[in-house]
Amino acid sequence: MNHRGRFMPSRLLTGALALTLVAGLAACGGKNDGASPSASGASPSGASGKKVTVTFWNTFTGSDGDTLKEIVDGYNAKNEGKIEVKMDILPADQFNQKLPPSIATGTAPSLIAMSPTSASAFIQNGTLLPLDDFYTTPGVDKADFEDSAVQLGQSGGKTYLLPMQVFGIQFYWNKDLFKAAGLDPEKPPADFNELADYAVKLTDASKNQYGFLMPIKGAPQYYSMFVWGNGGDMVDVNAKQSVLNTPENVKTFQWLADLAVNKKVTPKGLNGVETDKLFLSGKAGMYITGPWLAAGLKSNNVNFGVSLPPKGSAAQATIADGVGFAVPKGTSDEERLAAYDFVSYWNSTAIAKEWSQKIGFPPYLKSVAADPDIQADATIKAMSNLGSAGRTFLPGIVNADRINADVLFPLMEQIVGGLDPAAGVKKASDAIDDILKSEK
Amino acid sequence: MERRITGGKILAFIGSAALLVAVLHPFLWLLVAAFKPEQEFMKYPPTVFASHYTFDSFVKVWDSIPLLAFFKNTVIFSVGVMILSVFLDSMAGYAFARMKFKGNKTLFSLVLVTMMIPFQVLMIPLFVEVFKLGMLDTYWGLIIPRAASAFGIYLMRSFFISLPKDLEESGRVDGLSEFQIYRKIMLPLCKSAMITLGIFHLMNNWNDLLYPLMLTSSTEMRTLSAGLAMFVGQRNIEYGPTLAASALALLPLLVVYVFAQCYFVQGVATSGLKG
Amino acid sequence: MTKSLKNALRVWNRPDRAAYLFIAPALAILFLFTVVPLLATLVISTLDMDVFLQVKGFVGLDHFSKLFQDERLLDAALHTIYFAGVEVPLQIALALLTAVYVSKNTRFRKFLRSVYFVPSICSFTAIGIIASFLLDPQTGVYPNYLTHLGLPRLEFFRDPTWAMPSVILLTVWRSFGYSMIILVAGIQSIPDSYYEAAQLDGASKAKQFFSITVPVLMPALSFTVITTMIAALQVFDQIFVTTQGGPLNKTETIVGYIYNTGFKMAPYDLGYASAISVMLFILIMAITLVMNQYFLRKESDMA
Repeated sequence: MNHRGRFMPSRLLTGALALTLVAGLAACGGKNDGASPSASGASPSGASGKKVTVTFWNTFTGSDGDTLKEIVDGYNAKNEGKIEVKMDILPADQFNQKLPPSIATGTAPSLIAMSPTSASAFIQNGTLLPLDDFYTTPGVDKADFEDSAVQLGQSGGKTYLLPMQVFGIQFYWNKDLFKAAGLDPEKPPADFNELADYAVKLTDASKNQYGFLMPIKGAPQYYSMFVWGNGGDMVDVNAKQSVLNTPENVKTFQWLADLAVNKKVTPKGLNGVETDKLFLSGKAGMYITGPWLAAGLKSNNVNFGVSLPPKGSAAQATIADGVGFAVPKGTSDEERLAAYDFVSYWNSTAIAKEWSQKIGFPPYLKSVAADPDIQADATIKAMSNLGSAGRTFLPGIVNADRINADVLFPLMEQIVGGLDPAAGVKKASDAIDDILKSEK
Repeated sequence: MERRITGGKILAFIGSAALLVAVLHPFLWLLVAAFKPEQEFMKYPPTVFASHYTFDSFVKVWDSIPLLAFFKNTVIFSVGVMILSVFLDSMAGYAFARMKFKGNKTLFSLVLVTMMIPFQVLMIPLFVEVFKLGMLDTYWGLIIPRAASAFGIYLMRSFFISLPKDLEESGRVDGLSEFQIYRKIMLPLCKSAMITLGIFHLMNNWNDLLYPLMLTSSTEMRTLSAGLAMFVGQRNIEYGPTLAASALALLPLLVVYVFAQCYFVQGVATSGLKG
Repeated sequence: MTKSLKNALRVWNRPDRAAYLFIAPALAILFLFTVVPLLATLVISTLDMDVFLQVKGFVGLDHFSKLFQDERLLDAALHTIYFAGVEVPLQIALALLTAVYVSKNTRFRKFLRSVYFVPSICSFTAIGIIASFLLDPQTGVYPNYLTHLGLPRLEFFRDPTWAMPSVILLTVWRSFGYSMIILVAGIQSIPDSYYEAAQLDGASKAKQFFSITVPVLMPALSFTVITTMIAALQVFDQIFVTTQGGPLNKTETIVGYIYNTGFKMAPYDLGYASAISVMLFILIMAITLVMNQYFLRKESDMA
């Protein structure tokens, strides 16, 4: 008897487990039914009165995502019963892992946002649809778009990306630190020599203060401003061949090495998020990054200026980049047209202005650029016109991201860490040629 | 002799207390930091405490992600996996530990082998497989691939094997079937092991980011860890909300753990044997 | 109950047959969701294939011969072995030490036992975020306090020499409680009567530890050592959230390299990534096999 009594709790436990299990099963069954319509609802029967769902993946994590969400919610409210944009924001790493197999299995979204650089791999193997007919859709005024914005999405004469945001990489300086160092706070360095000169003046190791920040990964390709500025280049994109190993480029990297190693104007080994943070904390004099930093600088009350990067010995250059809307292969015409409707809503003057103002990105619609509120915003205005300085990073190269992340930034990291620039440049040049082999 | 032992005891006490501080202080820091205003994270020199505290970060988390829906998904996924997996693992572990059958060693080695493959490797084939089975973006599609684990089978086997021999003989003499022996004699003895395994499964799946993210394709199906990743932007990290979301994702597990840890502490196996 | 059903039950009730029923469900799931994808990986490793699942051709063993000329892979393998070789002994030693201490049921030790496990509850994502904050050379609290103590400003995750030790310490901090709990449960399953008998025989504490605790603990100990080793050879998460393989690739591990090759960015070389995975799998299998043989011998020696 005693024996049996001791096993009672276990029986109860098993019973409870079983009950929970059954309850769990029931709950799951119900949920499945609830979740599946989103998938089946996306394949419309063709009836025009039916609601079309546009699934939209992007990587706007962080604060930009909140504004994006508001705009999408506004769109959905306006199109109640007709079109619904279902947005899914993913961290960039997971986005990159999930998207390709999703396209392969036909479970991809009908709309994605990506940069032209990452898009080239998708364009090359035919997993993005050409979207040229967007510009002839009623209600879309192609003339309102800056040419550069349209061109950013083109490849081989076809359009694959529709403008979502377009920007140049900018030069930032901290006016308060300029003043403290006896420099004119309203005048950024005019050329590379002045930049080096100012960087030294702005560096104060005792205060943990740095003159010019040089991130070694996870940042815009800022080294290319210097390479281009001195008349060099990294890759001949037509011949698909490295042109990195030239005397002038070695000299450019020696100059960068001198700043980092001998003059110690930057802390070593920081990634882009960390250098951003350092500049935001007011502990750095000069920095090169995208327009996204401006909003944070304002909310942190940093007294800053923004302009194009200084001139080199040959030219003034910066990176023109952006994010575009793309439609993956396998998307139905109905969904694609619904996606066009959202994209054209996005590119309406009011919405584009809202995005510009809230995120601090320069406008690429002529109607927005002419808007008095935008005209009155000195920061946005300063970032708007790249003139002839804007260049695209390795256009049309499938491996562009890989060359940047696996060769060029590691080169910067090694040089900042003390490697001889001449040897580093040669090794990097070989590595680029090695990677480009697969593209020939 | 006497003095040596006392000295050792003091040393052990000091060591364990130091370890206690080392283990706990980052959580206390998290607790403080989650209530700091965003600007405080940029300050130099850094400080542990802020000049004032706010709920802003938590409000921000609440506003930007569907916290309750994520919470529900996480519970269904991780608790579902936990229940099924503890059950199946303990059955298999028991058989491998205490039953003689043909292929025991070979099959067990095969089970171990499945533990040696990093998830990153299996991810794409698994994704395609779950898609072909039509289970993508469903709770079942999340739970079933994880309903048994080599780790769990191995863990349970280790415990069953350390139980005294001839336990099941007495059951057979009493005329119990094999399943009854397992359920009535063995399981009660392994309650603490099962709860340990349950906790492991619960927290592994609760915290997992890549797996649930790969096998779901809509925001409505996401779990808390995916919500946590929302605040770490490519270009900007929202420090306060990230820490607040970390604290929020951690809290439920901590509560479950506080209740379950009494089973770790009691050592059910021992008391069961002594009676 | 019909006769045939009764018969069937009797047939399946023999231990050597019932065992198959016990293992069938678990094995079916492992087969379907781990073995099948693994076989797929084997096939993919001989193909020129990207993550879009587009097969551009059969390459046979080309990927495997490429493995041996890949310097970056060799580095990654060395880093992985460095990590596993230091992290596993540290974690097990600390876990064993604390397990023996906290397995006694006094109130303080019960408390310690519960608290030491707390870091294991957290995800590496959360822990990595916290650690990056605390150890940031510019804005972190630790480096700042250390300079007050007169030390140089330590760079932890950013220093090529110290990045890997920092990741190892972070991992030990997070995971020793995990191993400890398993060992505590093992120690507690030892009936007190064993110790009482030994005490009657006049055995010293140390002798009791080696003649009673260790032998009975062997299955749990071998379990923790082997699973910790397997996890260490697959190390990825904690590195991904703290150093991303840097600085100067000094913390890039094999799984990190697999991720970088196959999944991170174009050209998404799934074929080559799979070949590396197969190699890693063989490496882990070999190491585990050796360790398992060793422990099985110990177990049978001591039983």
